Amino acid sequence: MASTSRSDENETEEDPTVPAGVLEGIEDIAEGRTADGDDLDEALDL
Amino acid sequence: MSVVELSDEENVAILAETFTESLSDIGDKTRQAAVLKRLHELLDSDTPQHYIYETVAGCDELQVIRVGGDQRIFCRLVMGIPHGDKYYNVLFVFYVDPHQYRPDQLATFDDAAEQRLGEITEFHTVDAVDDYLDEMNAFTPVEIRERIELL
Repeated sequence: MASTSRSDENETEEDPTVPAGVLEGIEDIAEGRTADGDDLDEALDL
Repeated sequence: MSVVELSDEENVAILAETFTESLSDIGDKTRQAAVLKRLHELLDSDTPQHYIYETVAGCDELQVIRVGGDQRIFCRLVMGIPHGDKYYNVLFVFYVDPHQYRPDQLATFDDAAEQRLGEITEFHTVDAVDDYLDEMNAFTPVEIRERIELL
């Protein structure tokens, strides 16, 4: 989840961690893989 | 008393395929409806920025919308585009997380990821925003509401 860990032993700031799907989602949109109405309907089982 | 800045822009959402896959994985109709209702509330609002619950620590560009106590939508709200002629607020929706901490499913949001996020939300050089939104299958609040009514 959204968090930043810091070490008490040094002041190096570590990169935050997020669910892997977040990075996949960013990559999806960057590559034009977006959901249309049919995709949303399918996800919702409509 | 704080002053709330109202937005005249039209709100639209671009949904990543990963978002709809994660929404499908939720399965439960009640939980799916809660996610869609939250998105609709934001898109139908004059103050969409107020629906942002928090930013991810260490990355102010990546934002989180809270849905109930145990679901989180990861997104980025870009307001007032194109910058020279503000017409749209665009919500990029990446993923909905059931907020169950699975360490094996976490990834590092590093500088490369932040740069990628910056690239997709950068509209300074986009002349034809309408064409872009059409190409990216942007959703209006009405289109989201129609799905809610069908659930």
